[in-house]
This record gives sequence, C-alpha cells and structure tokens, in this order.
Amino acid sequence: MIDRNATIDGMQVSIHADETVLEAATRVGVTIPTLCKGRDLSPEGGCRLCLVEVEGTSRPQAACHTKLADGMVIRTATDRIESLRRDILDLTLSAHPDQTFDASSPQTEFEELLAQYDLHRSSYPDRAMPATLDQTHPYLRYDPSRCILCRRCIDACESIQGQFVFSIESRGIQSSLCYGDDDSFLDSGCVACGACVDRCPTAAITDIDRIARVKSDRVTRTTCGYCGVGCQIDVRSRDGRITEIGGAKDAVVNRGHLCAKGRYAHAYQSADDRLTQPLLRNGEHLEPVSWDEAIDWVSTRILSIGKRWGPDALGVFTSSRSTNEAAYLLQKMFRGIIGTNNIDCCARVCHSSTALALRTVTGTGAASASYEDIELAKCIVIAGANPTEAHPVVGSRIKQAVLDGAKLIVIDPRRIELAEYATCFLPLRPGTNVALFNAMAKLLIESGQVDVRYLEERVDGWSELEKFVEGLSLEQSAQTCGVAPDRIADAAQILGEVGPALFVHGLGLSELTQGTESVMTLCNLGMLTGSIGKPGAGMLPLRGQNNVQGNADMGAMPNLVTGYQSVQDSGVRERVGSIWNATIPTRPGKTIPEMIDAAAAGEIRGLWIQGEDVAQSDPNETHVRSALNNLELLVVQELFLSETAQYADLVLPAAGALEQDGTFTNGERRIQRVRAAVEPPGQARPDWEVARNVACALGAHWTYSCADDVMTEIAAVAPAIFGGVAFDRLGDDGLQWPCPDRTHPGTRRVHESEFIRGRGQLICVEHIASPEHSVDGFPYLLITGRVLEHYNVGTMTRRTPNRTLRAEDTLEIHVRDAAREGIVDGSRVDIESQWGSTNVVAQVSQRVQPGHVFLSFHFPETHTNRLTGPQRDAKSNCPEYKVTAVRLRTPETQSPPA
Amino acid sequence: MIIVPYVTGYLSEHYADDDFRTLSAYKAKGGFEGLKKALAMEPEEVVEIMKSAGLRGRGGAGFNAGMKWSFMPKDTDRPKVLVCNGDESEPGSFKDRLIMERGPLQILEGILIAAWAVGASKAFIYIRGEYKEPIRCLEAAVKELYGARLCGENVMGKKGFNIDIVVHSGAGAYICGEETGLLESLEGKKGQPRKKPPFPAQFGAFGLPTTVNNIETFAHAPYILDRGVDWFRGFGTEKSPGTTLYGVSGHVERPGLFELPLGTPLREVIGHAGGVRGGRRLKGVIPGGMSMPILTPNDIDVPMADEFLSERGTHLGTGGVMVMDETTCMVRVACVVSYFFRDESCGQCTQCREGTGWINKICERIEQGRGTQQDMKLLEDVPAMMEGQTICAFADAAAWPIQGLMRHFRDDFEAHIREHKCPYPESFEL
Ligand SMILES: Cc1cc2nc3c(=O)[nH]c(=O)nc-3n(C[C@H](O)[C@H](O)[C@H](O)COP(=O)(O)O)c2cc1C
Ligand code: SF4
Ligand code: SF4
Ligand code: SF4
Ligand code: FES
Repeated sequence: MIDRNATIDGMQVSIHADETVLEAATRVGVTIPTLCKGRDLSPEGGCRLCLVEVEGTSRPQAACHTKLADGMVIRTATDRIESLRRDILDLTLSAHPDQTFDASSPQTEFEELLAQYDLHRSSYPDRAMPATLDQTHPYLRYDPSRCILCRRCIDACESIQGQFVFSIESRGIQSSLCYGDDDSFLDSGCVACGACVDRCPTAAITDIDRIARVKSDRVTRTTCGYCGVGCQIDVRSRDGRITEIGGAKDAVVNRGHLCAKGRYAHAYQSADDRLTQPLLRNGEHLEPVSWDEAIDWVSTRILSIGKRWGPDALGVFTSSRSTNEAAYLLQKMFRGIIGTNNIDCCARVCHSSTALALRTVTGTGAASASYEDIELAKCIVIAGANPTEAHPVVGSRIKQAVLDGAKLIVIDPRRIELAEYATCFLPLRPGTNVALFNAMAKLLIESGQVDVRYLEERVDGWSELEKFVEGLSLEQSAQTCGVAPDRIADAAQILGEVGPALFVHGLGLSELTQGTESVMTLCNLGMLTGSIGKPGAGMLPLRGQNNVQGNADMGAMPNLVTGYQSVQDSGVRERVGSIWNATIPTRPGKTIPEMIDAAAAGEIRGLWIQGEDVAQSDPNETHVRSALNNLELLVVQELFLSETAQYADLVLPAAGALEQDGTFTNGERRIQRVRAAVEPPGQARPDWEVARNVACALGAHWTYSCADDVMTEIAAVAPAIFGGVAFDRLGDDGLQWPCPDRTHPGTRRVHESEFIRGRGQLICVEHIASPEHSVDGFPYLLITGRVLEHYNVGTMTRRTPNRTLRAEDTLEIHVRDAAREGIVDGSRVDIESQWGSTNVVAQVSQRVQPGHVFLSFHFPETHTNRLTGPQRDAKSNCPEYKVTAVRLRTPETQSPPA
Repeated sequence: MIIVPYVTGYLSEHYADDDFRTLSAYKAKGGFEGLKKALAMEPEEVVEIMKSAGLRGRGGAGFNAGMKWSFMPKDTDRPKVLVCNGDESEPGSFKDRLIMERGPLQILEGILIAAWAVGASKAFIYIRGEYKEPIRCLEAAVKELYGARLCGENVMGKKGFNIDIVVHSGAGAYICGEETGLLESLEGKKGQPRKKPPFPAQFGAFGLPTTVNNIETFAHAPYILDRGVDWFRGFGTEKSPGTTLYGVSGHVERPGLFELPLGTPLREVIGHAGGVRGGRRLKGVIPGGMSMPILTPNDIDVPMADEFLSERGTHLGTGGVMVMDETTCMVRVACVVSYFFRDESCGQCTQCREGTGWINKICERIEQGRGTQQDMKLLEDVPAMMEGQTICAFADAAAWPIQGLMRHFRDDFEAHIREHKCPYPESFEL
C-alpha cells in the first residue's frame, strides 16, 4: 500500500479520512488563524481568514472547509497569505466604529487576532456609527456594534442547544444578526444556556454578570446544585463573592454546556435574606442564638423526647440538595444514636415508585444507562418527563440526537417542547400509563417484534405476559388513555423496528397511584425490545434534584441503610452496626407521608427537616401545615426562612451547594465532587458538620474532620457499590457506581451481561384508575410540574433574575376549555379540588389537551399543593401529584344568575 | 416583448410563430426528434455526444455541458435531480426570458434528454419570481407534456424512464442564480451559496446528486441530438461551438436579441442592433452581462467567444452586450454597478460583504466630487482582495467590472477627483 500524505508548511502529514486542512494543521501543531470556525462548531466558511495556499491552484483555499487530500502541498503563512489576512481583518474592522475593539489589551479572540496582526485602527475612512445595545434580557446582552457576523452564535444555538434563536436579517452590508421574528433577546426563544456567549469571538453577546469584567482570583470546579443532571461547573469568584459560573469544557456530563439555572441563577447565594445564624423560638419569635447554645438545646430536646416517647417519636427528612456525606451522617445519627429508622428523603415524593419498580424487576433502583447513551440511541422514548425544561442539558442532548436522526416517541399528556421533534407523540390522559404500555406490549408481542433471544436468555415471565396481553383489548386501552389505536400502533411499530430503545422517564410515571406499576410496565417494553443493558438503550429515569439519587444511595430510606442494604437483614445490621459501633433498629421506619400523618396524629413528636420545604412542596398542604403545627420539636436546616422554617423551633443556617465540600450523585449514578467555591455567609455551616456536632452532643465520638473522612466510611459500609469510591479517585468526572473496589473503573451500564437480580422480571398488571379520575363535579384533571426558569419551590431561583424571565406560576388551560369557561389569557381563576382551593392566573395554551390543566408550584403564593390530595401509590407511598380532579370558577361563573 | 429578428441559427428560427409553444407545432418543426434519438441510445452515449459537441454552458461560466453531465454518480440508488436555472438576474441579460416565452418546449426536451443521460427522476425549473409570463409559459408547456405522456412515468413508452418536472418560482435575489444559492432557495431556505466541495453532483438539491444547467444550455441539446455533432460544430468556433442569443442594450439604435454564431465579431453584433445611437462615438462595451469587465473601442473587432474575450481580460458571460457612447460617465457606471453588487451580496464572506459596501461608498464619493487619492488606492486594493477568495464567484463578479473600469477609464475617475465634481452632464442614463 502506498503511504498517502500531504505537506503542510514543509511537514509531512498523513491523511485521515474526512479531515480538513485546519484539523490536520492543528494536529501537527500548525496554527491557522480562524474567526468564523468555533472550536467545537462546524465551519461557517465566511470569514475567509483561514485561507491557505495550495500548490497547483491559483486561488487560496479555506482551511476550515477544505479536506486534506493526497499530495496536497500547503503553505499556511506565506507573505501573500499573511497580508491577505491582515486585509481581511482590516475590512472586518472597517464595519465598526473606532474604539469598539481594543487590540492593545486584548480581551476577546478577535482582539487577540487584531493584536497579532498589529491592527489598532481600520484604514478605512468614514466608518459606521455605533448601534443600539440590546439589554432587555436579565442575563444576556447583545451589542450589535461589536458583531462581526461570524455566525458562530447561530451554529452554537442550533447545534448545541437546539433553540434556533438567531438568524441573519437582510444581506450584504445590510446583514445583521437578528432573533428571527422577535424584537429583543428577552422576547426571543432564548433559554439562556449561554452557549452563544461562550463562542462569540468579540463579546458582542455577553453575560450581563460578566460585563463589569471583575477579574476573578479563584476558579473552583464543582457540581451544579440544581437538577439531577449533575453538570460540572467552573465557579469564578473574587473576595469570597461569585463573579461568574461557566460550564466545565471537558466534563463528560455536560461538555461545557449549562442551562439558565446552573449558569446564571446564583444570586440567591448572596441574597440579603440568607440565614446567617441559628434561630431559636421564643414564643412567637425566632431569636438568634450561638451554635453552642443551639446544639446544646437540640440535643437535650432530642434526648428528652426519645426518653419520654421512645425513639420512634423522632424522625428525619434528609435533603436531596445536600451532600452524600450530610445524608449519610444524618441517617447514621438517627439509626445508630437515636435508634429509629424514621428516615426518608424527598425521593419519596418523586422517584420512589421508579426506584422501587426498577429494583423489583431489574435488581437495582437506578438508571441502567448513562447520558452518553443518548448519542448512541437509535430510538428514544420519553415518558412522563419534560427534559428541555426540567433537565435542560439532557434535554438539549436528546434534541440534538433527534436532529441527527434518532427516532423519538413522546408519551406525555402535554405537548412538551420535544413533542415537536417527535416521530410519534402520544398525548395520553394523565395516570393511564399502565394501559398504554400494556397495549404497546400487546402489539409488540403479537407482531412478533420482540427480542426472542434476550427474553429467553435473560428474562422471566414472558409466557405469562403473552397470555396476559391476549386478554387485553387494544380499543379499550386506547379508550382509557385517550389516544387513537393507530397512534399506539405507530409507536409500537417504531419501537419494534428501530429498538433497542432508550427509555427516558420522569415523574409523570412515578407520581401516580399506579406509579410503581407505570414504571414496571415501561420496563416490560424495555425487556421485550431487549433494551436494558445495551449500548444506546436502557432505562434512564431523570432524577429531579441534584442529589436525590445520592440521598437514596446513602440510606435516607426507612427500610434501607447505606447502599440499599435492608435493615431487616440481621447480617447487614450486624456488619454495619459493628462499623458504627451501634445497634441498628430492626423495624423499618416511616416514609415522609407516613411521618406527616403520624405527626398530625401526635405519634411523631420531633422532626428534623434538612433543606426541604414540605409546607410548599408536599401534597395536601393544609394537612401538612397542621402536622407541622402539632410537633413538639421541629428542627430545620435551611438557606432561607422557608415556609416550613416558619414552623420551626430551631432553625439552623445551612451552607449552600457552592459553599461546601462533599459529593453529589447524579441521575446516571455518577458520584461527583462538590467543592466550596466561596465561604458560607455568617455562621452558616455545611450540613454534614452540623450532623457531626449534634451527634457528638448526643454522646457519640465522631471524629470526621472533612467530607473525605465520611466517604471513606461510606465505602466500608457499602462495599458492593461504593467500595472503590474515594475522594482521591473522583477527579473531574467522578465515578459511576457500582464501583466495588479501588481498581474498578465504575459502571457505565448496569445489567450488561445479566440483570443484577439474576433474571429480569416481566410484570402482568392491569390499569386501575386513580380515585381522582372520575370525581363528580370536578371535570378537569390537574397536572403539576416544573418550568424551565424555576427549580422546585423556587427557594433559590425566586431570589435570582430568573424572576424576570418568569414572575409567577400560571395555569395552562386549553383554548377550547378556556372559551367554555369564559377564561381569557392572563385572567385570574379560582381552582378547586376536593382537598383545597387556590386562585391563579390562567394561561390559555395548546400545550395541554382539552380537559387537562397544568400548574407549576414554584411560588408559595400559588399554593399549588393545597389542590393535590392524599392519594398515594400503595407500594412506594409516592404521592399523586400528577392527577387531581379539579373545577374552575371565574368571576362570571361565580356571580349569581340574573 | 418584441421578438427581435432572428439572424442566423436554429434556436429562435420559429420564435415569431406563437404556435411554436404548442406541442403539435413544436413537433411539426422537428420537436422531440432529438429526444427520440437519445432514447434509442444508452445514456452514456448521449453524454459522450454532448461532450464531443462541446456545448458550453450559457449561464455565464461556459463549462462543457456534457462534461458536467458525466460528473453525476453512476452507481448510486439515490434519486438524481436536474435543475434548470432560469433565475436570469444578471443586469444586461434577457435571453433566457425569450427562450422561456417563445420556445419552452425546447427547454423541456433538453431537460428530458439530460434526464435520460444522467438518470434523473426529478427536474426543477427555477425561474425568477418577476418572470410571470415565462413561468406561465413553462407551466403550460409542462402541463401539455404530462397530458401527452412526454413526462411522468415511462416517457415515450420507455419502460422505467420516469421524470417529473416542477416549475418553481424564485423568491427574488441575484444570488439565487448562483447554483448553490439556487439550491438553498429551492429547498426553501435563504438563498446563500454553499461551501464547495461538495459540488452539486455529490450533494445537490435536498442532498441528492444534482446537475444544474442554464435555460439556454438545455435548449440547445435537442438540436445536437437530432442534427448531430458535426452540424452543431458548423456554427461558432472550435472552442465555442453553436450559436447564442446576444442581447444588445444601451446606446444602440435597436436594442434586442440576435441569434448569431459564437465568435461573431463585436462590431457585427452591435451592427445588428443598428450601431451606436445617433451616430455617436463608442466609449465602452460590457460584453457579457454586468459582472464582466468592460471593453474599449480598440476591441471592436474581437470575436465574441470566451477564448478571445479572455485574452482581453474579460468574458462572454451571458452574452448581454451593453453599449456605452461617448456621453457616458464611467464613474457613474461604476456607481450603478457597485450599487447593484452591494445590494445583492449574500453577506457571508467578509471581503464580499464589506468590500462591495466600500466599493460603492467610494464610487459614490468620487462621483459626488468628494473623492481622494486614498479612494483610488482603495478602489484598486479592495477588488483585488475580493477576487478568487470567497465561497462563490459573486465576489469576482463584483470586483471585475470595477477593475475593468479602473484599468481602462482611470482618467474619468481622476477628473472627478481633480475637479471635485462630475464633468459629465446630468442627462446621463445607462
Ligand atoms: C453570482 C452568480 C449569479 C449567477 N446567476 C445565474 C443566473 O441567473 N442564471 C444562470 O443560468 N446561471 C447563473 N450563474 C451561474 C450558475 O452558478 C451556474 O454556473 C449555471 O447555472 C450553470 O449552468 P450552465 O453550466 O448551463 O451555464 C450565476 C453565477 C454566479 C456566481
Ligand atoms: S443563550 Fe443559548 S438559547 Fe439563548 S441564544 Fe444563546 S445559544 Fe441560543
Ligand atoms: S454575535 Fe458574536 S458570534 Fe454572533 S455573529 Fe456576531 S460576532 Fe459572531
Ligand atoms: S462571495 Fe459574496 S455572494 Fe458569494 S457567498 Fe460570499 S458573500 Fe455570498
Ligand atoms: S475560519 Fe475558515 S472561513 Fe472562517
């Protein structure tokens, strides 16, 4: 074979398939100046700065979009080329007023090029006047005077975020960057991901918080404290204040990308109303006390309640926002020192059904797949999740995968953004997933589109399921879910033909009376198509909060101690007990809803609530508030005086995600480092430290001096899944559990060769309607959920300019229903369920189906959870947030008939 | 439109006859004989015949049409596409319009021959939006073809020869005439030229292998197939065989289109238009549409074929001959030309976007008597940095005419700068 190669500046260069001259030059260390080609973007080809000479052609060629071919002789920096480049830069500069750019102290890529070519002023006379700044957006600013029309932002917005915000208006010298049909950044479809900002070579698009150009003196790599995607961030700070946050470029989770929350919404960190000292109740008031006093007081109260009413009169909710180390120590304190298993975390009210279902049928209650499977997937099924809003960075990866050709099936009552990209969209009635998934299973089985080998080798229950689906009627199922039978057939056909598939699912499956069954029947589809454990396929539940996965992993569950080990297993109790030097109680404790009921009934007398605003976030708000009122002792660890904290006897000021050390575990089981970027304000302290100090006051001899020490113990307590985890191994991208020993690289995909539980289990279960499905006099079904701009109860995001992006919760209602009810966009409506009522602003929309309404729960004044009721999944105890029967009243319908 | 006297050739022989646009009359004049002969051959043979006929593309670049057809991939099961370029937006060009209005079936027969030769199953005729009448004529002709089963499935009874023809109305920009700008526009996007490679033969309309030819190029093909290569080569020059429709405009007595063999001397071409108006003296001639550099009276005997024109620093382009007499202010010409290109650049490339803007600004300044020697230098430098360095040939088209004017009529520019005003009377019109 003849060696094929080319020459660049006299160097022999081998030919790689499809490589451009620019890429080859970069590979061999030759730098070719570029303007319109961004590092991770495709060539635009317009700036012409990368022109090089190719022997044998009279015209110079653009290195960024010319493929290197055999025998090419390339010169990248001849006098002619260099003077050409200077001319091009001069022409580029000629379109801008003087002093727009500063080549003497270059701050941007473009200015660096100007400096390199010693261009301080354009040689063209009579140049343009500055154009008007667009400062409408709370985070982003566009300065047309600085725009050189390189179009990188257009490509970034399309190919990274998938938002298609920008285009070029007009042509020739009239060309200008515009936001499609919209007039301003604020009105545009921008979701404030910042991808364009990071790639703009002139700082024409900038972050508002970066304009002041405060030089940061510190960069801290850590994990974002918002959703469960677990993006890696670089936090810049100066004098203990955060100056800016950027995506870590090399991170496997997010590759430099972030969302509006992670990148921009950090103002809460320095909000005026942060809690800075412990507050102790004195009658009506909460009064500042010292930490010593606080710890002394709380340990005495705990001991006395324990002594008087027994340890099970106490309970704890650990925080999904806090670190693994904090969750681990709190559950250890309650189990090992106080002696109760009354330990739970907010996973109860979100993904407990998911975890239970996955554990039952596969053997582990977490994602089988990783985010990297998104790009490998040929078929993606999204069920009961709205990733582009609730998990934006994963959402944009899914969107890109679909734009690249993956098939997408969206199963959701609402026309979520990704429904617009779907090959097949099934807008089902909320709470009818089981009927739908069973129907799809029937179609797959009956058309023979199942992975026979996979089923035979790896799965139990196939013949039972075959028999079970025989008895189902497609028409009847279709009727139940409100989706046409041929739509269901289309979806099944795509799944059958294109699968294995990646199943991305969320709370729309879990938070139902049939939550566990919803996920189990989805797993049926995963197994029938041979998807679980395969590359580009499997189960990928999207975890809501930054460390909700970790809280469950750490044992913040009433029946499971660290690493999903059952408290009912005497071996476990003995082994863990000997490490702890304590006795672990045998009887499983209560879940969050049970603890709240028990508090209302006076059975639980003392609760420790770490960073969770149950008074706003938990269903049946009125009931929750009366339970809190009934407690003898309520300790709340918080950033702010939340709705819940107002009921507290002792409020402990907590350090936020950006202020402490430890680890978070994301939705793909990746344990990642959290590092303090700034000091907590005042006397606020990391949660794990507080747990340690209270434990010591209760008589324990805990000697952990840093989060690292805690992780060492976690690895020893749960060696099967964390044995190999240690801070020194976590590096930049962490480790995915299971990771049993120090040589283990972590696990990208679980159940690869066999299921953790041995064989996978197919489940036969019928759809059972929720009691909320047909309540006389309450004709609408309410779905609750989140929106892009805010995060859960909004404690953090409401204290940031995200408020400008969205100032209130709104009730989405279908145009037809709105017309019937006499509701106009923006008007106020009373909404009422059997459990409570509230008054909200209506948003007339086509995103919801007729008969359904949607309401988010980010603002306390909305009182969304006064509407949600006591219904729960019997298996997981997960509340039903996703289906509530409601009725609507407008001022007109209220007025008495004339 | 007045049909200007057919002079010598074959394309426009029957253009005076309204019926020539109907299938029966067209057939009576020998129409579809070329296609019939082509269908009796293997596609490769048709391509070979076209290659040896040496028909040069009439859209401006003059590339051998048969050669272009041979670039279409052969072993592919992807559908192939033909695109007929009827955008005709070059100022000074109006020949395609006449062909579309008077000989639509010539174009369609040419397309069918090409479809057979390259294996295309879909053809788009992209016509500039302002050309309402041509669009109507072609739509009517296509309809008639479908009726007569001369397009659609199994054309002329040839099993498996399926070709659909679509007439597409353009959305109005000069750059949509550039073939890849056209393809973008055809796909419903903003008309912006694509980076090449890949060329249309690999990645064309909707990503499919595509050949783009000009209206006139297609119209010649039936005659070549019907009457043979030798007959065709009997017209024109060795390197530029056949006839073309020279469109003569400007300061002549009788502007119009004249079909003449390629290589006809410029003097004769202008002569058919009645010579320079009012017996005035000739000052300059743009030989092939506004993007081509200007000729001077010294060039009056140049044979009007590309190989001779390129020796004089210009090209045949689209054969749109623009005649200017002694009253013409060449700075004003530069203003008009540069205004057009400034307005029509798509704006992707730095040199083209900013360069066309500066050229126009400077020309206007000089015309208004505010020019300086620095402007003269810029008028030399800016076109030089535009030529041959951009995504498409538009930048060349914008630079060349200015370079030509500066080369031959520098005195006009200097006079403006010296006198701080335009030395020509106001009455000027181009
Ligand atoms: C700026 C620009 C404008 C063009 N406009 C036209 C046009 O209006 N009509 C046309 O046939 N070709 C036009 N062309 C040439 C086309 O790009 C293409 O070469 C031609 O359609 C090919 O057909 P031909 O080979 O039959 O000439 C233009 C080229 C450029 C660079
Ligand atoms: S911030 Fe993100 S979504 Fe907004 S315009 Fe830039 S790339 Fe697009
Ligand atoms: S805003 Fe920045 S990235 Fe976008 S075109 Fe202008 S200079 Fe380029
Ligand atoms: S040369 Fe001009 S018209 Fe052609 S692509 Fe570049 S900017 Fe557009
Ligand atoms: S970097 Fe190649 S053309 Fe801009």
